[in-house]
Amino acid sequence: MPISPHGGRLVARQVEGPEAAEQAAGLSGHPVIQLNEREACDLEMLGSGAFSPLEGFMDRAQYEGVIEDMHLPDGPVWPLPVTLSSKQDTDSLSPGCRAALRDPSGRIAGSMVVGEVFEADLEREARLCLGTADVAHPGVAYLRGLSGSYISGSITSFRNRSAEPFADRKLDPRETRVLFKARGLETVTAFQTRNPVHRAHEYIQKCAMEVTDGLLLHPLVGLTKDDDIPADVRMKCYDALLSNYFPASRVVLSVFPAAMRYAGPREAVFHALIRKNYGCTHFIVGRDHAGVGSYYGTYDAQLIFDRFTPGEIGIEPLRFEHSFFCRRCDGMATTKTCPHSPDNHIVLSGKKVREMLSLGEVPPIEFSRPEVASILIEWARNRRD
Amino acid sequence: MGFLIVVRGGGEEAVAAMEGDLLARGAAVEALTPARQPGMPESAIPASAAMLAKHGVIVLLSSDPSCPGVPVEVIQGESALDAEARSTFLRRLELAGRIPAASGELEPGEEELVRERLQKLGYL
Repeated sequence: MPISPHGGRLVARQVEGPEAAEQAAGLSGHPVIQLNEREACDLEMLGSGAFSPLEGFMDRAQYEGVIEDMHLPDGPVWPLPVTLSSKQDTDSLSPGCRAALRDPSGRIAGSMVVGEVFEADLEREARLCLGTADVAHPGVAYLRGLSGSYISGSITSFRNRSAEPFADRKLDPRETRVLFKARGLETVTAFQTRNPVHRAHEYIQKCAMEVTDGLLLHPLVGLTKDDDIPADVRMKCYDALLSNYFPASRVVLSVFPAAMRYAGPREAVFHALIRKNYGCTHFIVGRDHAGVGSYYGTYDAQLIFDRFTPGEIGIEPLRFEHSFFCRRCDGMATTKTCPHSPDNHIVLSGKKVREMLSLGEVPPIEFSRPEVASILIEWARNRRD
Repeated sequence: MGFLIVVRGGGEEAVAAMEGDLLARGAAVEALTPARQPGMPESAIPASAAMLAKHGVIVLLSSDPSCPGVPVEVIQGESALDAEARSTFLRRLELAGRIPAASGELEPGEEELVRERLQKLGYL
């Protein structure tokens, strides 16, 4: 029996191929709403059902319920706003009218039946959802760039799947659900990442695989920070890791086309609920999940799950400590399982790893698999040249 | 705990449309309208409705009852006769956890198409 989607039913609000082209053509003469990059990602997520039970960009009641209480007015938990900002005059947008949604490339990527236009206090949204109004936080900086006026409405996403980035590595929730069923994976752990997978994360993933049937490695390839390693490089690393060290029948690699919010604890819940829609039963929550800088406490992203009943969330969070290689244990461990002092642990900061890579130095084998390290060194070398 | 749904206007056709959708979701439903319960005095409807709701039944009514303490939802008859409006109404109740969700399962033909794509991409 597969896990139920959040809200009970997988929303499907997308059309593909000729039907998508036909619907886009039929919007000629309708008002056009411009999407920014995050909103374009959100449109795709809404259409595919990844954001079930949402059927479109939030209205005021949904927005208020979410930012204040992390619940939709109808009851389900939902921790972050999914909103569409107005960028121009909204006089032509009357409730009930159909509008075209244009993505940053200029493509008509969807349509929307307009619900309402409402004003939002973006500083309040930042404080409630991100826990800060500091403009150095990327999520706050994003909000600062918006008009403060949101447009709600149910959407239809027009997909041109063959032209999408990582088209042959991107599965919608319906597809992962069919795949898990076909492979006989009744319980599946999802792992969210926007970084290459080194030994520490490999260890956590394999711990999870000891208690569930399968693993969905779900790297985020939507909008990330400029200093994140490019998605195509990361995909090569994942392929190298999986083909050498994981059982193929129990692991699925598929890209996750969402945009990062860097909302820390709230985003951990957001990511968990979305993975439930993809058919996963467990979700790995590490330390400072979806965090940035020092805005969130080390364990905030794990503790936030205690604010909900298990039934409200529906997917089980697997809380992991930071892991490392311990010379005395002669193996991977965490502070939960290793009694030795930190000087026995091989831990490298992201900055240190980047420095080593840029100098062409291979990180210790206890830190990174050589197959992964060589891809990263090659990338660093090309970037330097 | 069940609840009451008052279908205002639209007659038996509107009540039947609501009943059909609710039954399709596996809900326990009873219509207490004069046409569906010909022997029942109108004065007995509120007590019967409240009793059924207490036992988890969704009770469809064609007029506003007086049932203190029993949750009541109202839909206009013209909405109950419109498939899309009915779906929106039921979706709200579904999200509130008051009725079973529509399955959202893929039809066999759709699942076959998904499997074909997964095979083409090398996942299966």
